[in-house]
Amino acid sequence: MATNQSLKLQNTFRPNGRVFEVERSAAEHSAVVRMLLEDFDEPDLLVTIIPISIDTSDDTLAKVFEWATHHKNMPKPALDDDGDRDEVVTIQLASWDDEFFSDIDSETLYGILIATNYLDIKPLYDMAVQVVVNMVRGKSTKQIREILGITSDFTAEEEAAIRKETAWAYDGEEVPNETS
Amino acid sequence: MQAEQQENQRPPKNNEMDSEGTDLDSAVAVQLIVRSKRHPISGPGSAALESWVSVSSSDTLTPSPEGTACSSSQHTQPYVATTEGWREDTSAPTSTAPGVFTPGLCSSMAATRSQMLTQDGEPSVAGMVRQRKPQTQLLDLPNEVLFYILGFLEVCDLLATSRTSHHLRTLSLTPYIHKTRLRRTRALLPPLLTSPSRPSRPDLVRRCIVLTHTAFASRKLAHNLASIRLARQLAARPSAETLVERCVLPRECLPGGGGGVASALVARKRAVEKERVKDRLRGWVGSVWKGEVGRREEGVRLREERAGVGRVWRLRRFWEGVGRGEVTTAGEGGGI
Repeated sequence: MATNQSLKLQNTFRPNGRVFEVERSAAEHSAVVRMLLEDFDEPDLLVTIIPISIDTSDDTLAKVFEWATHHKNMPKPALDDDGDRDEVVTIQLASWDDEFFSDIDSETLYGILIATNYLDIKPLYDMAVQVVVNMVRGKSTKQIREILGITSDFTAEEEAAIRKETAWAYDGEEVPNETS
Repeated sequence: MQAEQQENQRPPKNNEMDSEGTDLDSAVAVQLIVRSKRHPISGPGSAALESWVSVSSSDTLTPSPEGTACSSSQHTQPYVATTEGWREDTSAPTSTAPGVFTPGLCSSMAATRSQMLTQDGEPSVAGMVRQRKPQTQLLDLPNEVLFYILGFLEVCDLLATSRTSHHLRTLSLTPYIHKTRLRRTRALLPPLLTSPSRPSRPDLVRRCIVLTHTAFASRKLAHNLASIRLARQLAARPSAETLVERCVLPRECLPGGGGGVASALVARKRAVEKERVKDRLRGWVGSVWKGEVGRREEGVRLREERAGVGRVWRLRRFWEGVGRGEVTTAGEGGGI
């Protein structure tokens, strides 16, 4: 099977989505696309525009496909591998991936999460998740709110109740007034 | 929707359906692809229209698995998931993937979502655009993604996230996450305990980290012996009086003995006394030295000058003579 065929994918979530031309081996990172290709391996499919519908910008998708194209020769996990969470390994980012993630903003990062979750691109999804996890790990509540841009929707009473509930966990953290 | 009720009843059934669901999916996908080829998506209006067309057709075309997967994600999206059953449905990629696969269904899902969010009667493109916020935030991510992320966190981090907002609180306090965390730890610990890098007990004994009973007893015995020996030797020490007599200790160290100085200050007192003696000696030596040595130096110089001894002296006299023009060149060699 020739691997340098191109597939055309279009994001149809919003009208006039960009049509991406992706190499077949790169697009096969997506388990969704791979399943599609396995099921109908016809020349017909290669000229059709494959519609995908993801709530992300075209730029984000471009990023995803950029990653996929760079890693097109990476072995892809088996389709029935549904990722047993019992053995979680912390992923070490290779230098290229590190750079890839260092110059994307958080919005694109979230977009990548949504897109890879939809397209089922396991390696990139795991890496993006890992990046978010590293953003959160070891931070205080206030820091997490700042980093992730979360506004507290607790009322003062709820906040107090939560604090009381887990008072033992507040050692060394500055006291209240976050909500006011 | 009928499929939805099935969904709520028992999550495990999804897995059974997946295997056969793939085939059904592919059949539908073919039709949809063909359809989209025939009517290329051109404008905003037609996209929305197409999504509705495909919804209605898919309802008639597809048996339950399709509808199940898609409707489940569509309905759980805006709500907070609390039950473990829900997670098991959507967590397995195989169960969601086929459903999300078919394009028509998913644009219908998006359309329904925008309908729910904007409270519009009709799903319109305007509604979809309005639904889009200026910036994607973490909380806009689907719950399953958030779940996956939270699954990597430790207890303290989960506690921190649970205090950030209602949504994250519900998610990070879900029993499922904590159950998997515990399960993971249970899987993680035994290999660590049996890992080759963990030192064995004999090794620890050898490094004196673990004490065996005999080692403990022998150590105690050694302590006792040392203390007995020390006690004996302390008793055999000579008394302070004897030491003073032998000039090992200063007299001031005796309890009753002298000088009216506290015993702690004895050393300092001695030092001051010594310094005073040194000062006196230095002054005496200085005066003697200056007078005596100065006089002697003067005498030596005069005598040398008188006798004309010393090479330097003779050289100087010679060159002074040359300067005055007294010495001839013939006499030069003899002069030097």
